[in-house]
Amino acid sequence: MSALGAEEIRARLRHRPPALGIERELEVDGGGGRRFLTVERGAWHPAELLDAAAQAAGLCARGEADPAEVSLLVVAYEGVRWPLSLRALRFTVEVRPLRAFLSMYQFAVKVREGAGVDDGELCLEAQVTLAREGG
Amino acid sequence: MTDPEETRESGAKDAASVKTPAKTGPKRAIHGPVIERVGPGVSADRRTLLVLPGLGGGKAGLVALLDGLARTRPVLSLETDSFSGSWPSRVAAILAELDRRGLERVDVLAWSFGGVVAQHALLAAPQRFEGVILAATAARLRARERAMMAHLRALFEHDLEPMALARALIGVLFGPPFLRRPGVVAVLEALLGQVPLDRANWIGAFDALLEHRLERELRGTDKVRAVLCGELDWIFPIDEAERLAELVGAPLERLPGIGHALWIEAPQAMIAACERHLGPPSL
Repeated sequence: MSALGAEEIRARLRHRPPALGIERELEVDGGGGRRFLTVERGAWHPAELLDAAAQAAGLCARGEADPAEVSLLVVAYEGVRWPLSLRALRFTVEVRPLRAFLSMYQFAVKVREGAGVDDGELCLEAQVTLAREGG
Repeated sequence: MTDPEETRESGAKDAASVKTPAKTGPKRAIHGPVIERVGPGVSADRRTLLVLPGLGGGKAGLVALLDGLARTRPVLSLETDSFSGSWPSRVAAILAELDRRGLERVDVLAWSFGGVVAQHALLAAPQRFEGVILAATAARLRARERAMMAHLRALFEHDLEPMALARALIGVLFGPPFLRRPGVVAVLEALLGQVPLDRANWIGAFDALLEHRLERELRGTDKVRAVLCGELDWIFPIDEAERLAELVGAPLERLPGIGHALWIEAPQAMIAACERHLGPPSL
């Protein structure tokens, strides 16, 4: 599976600027989670970053489905750890699938500062559960 | 994220840095989350900062705030909506918790409902407190605030879904500039909608607030080091913070562009205020 570009992401998410938090997927060798680069903002609050992480999780849950046909909602944020403040202007979101059950999808998300893959400081982590709208 | 060197916690479900299991023992007066933090290099013998959050605690944001506060002093957070009853019984529960931990004298950072609890505790047992910072709170509820509390009480009495209650609270808890940030309302709805609500305790808290009036008693109190208020606080407005600061003879710190939820909107301002007004924690 090739990494999603900006146009593909816009096609898969209903979010539009300034609500769109993910710019593109990063190419990563090997297994594990998928990584996404956020858009650049002048200042981020951790709550905004958590929303961007949920968007990245949504991209992983949606697959190739048309957003007009499959609508996903956040039903829970758990184990949320966020910092007092954020210094970076953009971040790398790592998404790892935990489980899928019926219409529910649960992911672990970790967000690091900057556009690197693993070298940025870990600044946010959470579990995000998504569900198909209407069950 | 920085994990403190030592962390003890009981009850809180959203903190990841639990290193020592909660003590088990006699039933405590405080039933909800009790969180202790001691940062790296901080002596546990230093005077503890007692944190009294508002209704609902602070959840995700609270952990980061406590970690930040714990960089310079031991921190003990008691969730103030986890117990019920009259103001004296609430104060007794806090003092019992301090007794249980052998804490004779503490500094205090308290906000919103916790700030009201702190005022009652300060008046009941001034010898137990060294320096107090009150944030997003007031010495009294006037007709406007009482009407708001009565309305919130009515919402909690009805069988509304947690998400509906969360939506009712978001507009009054946070400043408009914060809620304009992309995605923030959706995240807050989800986070607040997940908060387990003990409706009876919340209703009891609203009842207690409706009786809160300490203008006369607080005058001349000399333990309050500062009063903090967001200039866009819709629950306890800035004019009531001015009144409170005048009563206790403490400086008022106004936070421009910030609403009631200082602990989420401006946690660093709260940490800075502790460092500025409480001074270095002594033994």
